[in-house]
Amino acid sequence: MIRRVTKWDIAVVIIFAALSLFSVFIVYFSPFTSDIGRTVKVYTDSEVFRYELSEDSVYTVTSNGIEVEIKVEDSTVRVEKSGCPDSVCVHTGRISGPGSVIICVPAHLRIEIEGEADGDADYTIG
Amino acid sequence: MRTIRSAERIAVDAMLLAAALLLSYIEAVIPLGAVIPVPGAKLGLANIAAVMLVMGGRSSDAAVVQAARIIINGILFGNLTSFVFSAAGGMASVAAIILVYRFASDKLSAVGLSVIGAVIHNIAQMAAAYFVMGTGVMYYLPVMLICATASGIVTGLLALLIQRYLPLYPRTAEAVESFGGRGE
Repeated sequence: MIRRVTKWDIAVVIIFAALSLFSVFIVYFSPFTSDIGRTVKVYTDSEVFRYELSEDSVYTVTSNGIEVEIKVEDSTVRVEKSGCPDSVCVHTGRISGPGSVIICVPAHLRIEIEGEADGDADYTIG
Repeated sequence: MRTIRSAERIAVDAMLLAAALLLSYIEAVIPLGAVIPVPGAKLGLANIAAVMLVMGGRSSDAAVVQAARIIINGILFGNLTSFVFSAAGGMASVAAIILVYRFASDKLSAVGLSVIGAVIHNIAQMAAAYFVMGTGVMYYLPVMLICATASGIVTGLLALLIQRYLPLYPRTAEAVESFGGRGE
């Protein structure tokens, strides 16, 4: 049993430190993966829909009897069309950062980009 | 290595289990997340017990103590979600430590083993979280890797210190003598 720090210990630490820095670069700074795993969450009264932020698409959600068309494009989200009377959600425009939201009150709809901006842990693990 | 009587083995395992449980509890009560801005970050002090047992040549005891700690901890303080994460991380971590020690017992000290254990612990937890929560968790991986490496160094140095002053396994003649006992 080895009771002192060896050069192999130091090598292990250096390897994992390098891996950490590498993964920081890959996940946070690479333009290809900057929105990796980010999810657009759409809350209605009864359901939560999840869409990939990196996947350009148009989703139609019916909530509280109102049809809302949500467009995901270039890692941004906007409400393109809404059957609600005031269209506040459409005028909100594009959202992109984590934690940003679009709310449509008449449709009881909340669109949110998942992220750390809200600062709360989703789960406590231990 | 000298044969260790089963009573002593049970006593040492039970003592390490109790210590690991206590450390788990302390870490749950005083979260490290309050000091550094990483929610859920923990030092993983309980892994010292696993490292010490593996390095004492008691790999199977290390796995049993780790499993017992996770189950008891889950029953006392956890919920199903936290239990799944602890079990995935804890068991993967002890398996990694056992495997690495089998091939590198003459190269690595508790520091290297702890770092490997901590990193595997976090990667396994990420994998479990991936199945529970979906892809969003990968965004957290770099932060976890950095924290795991750092906490592995800290727990490893603590394990080294404990091994120096509290030599449990293997019971060498000098160790027995230094505690005023007699060799077997």
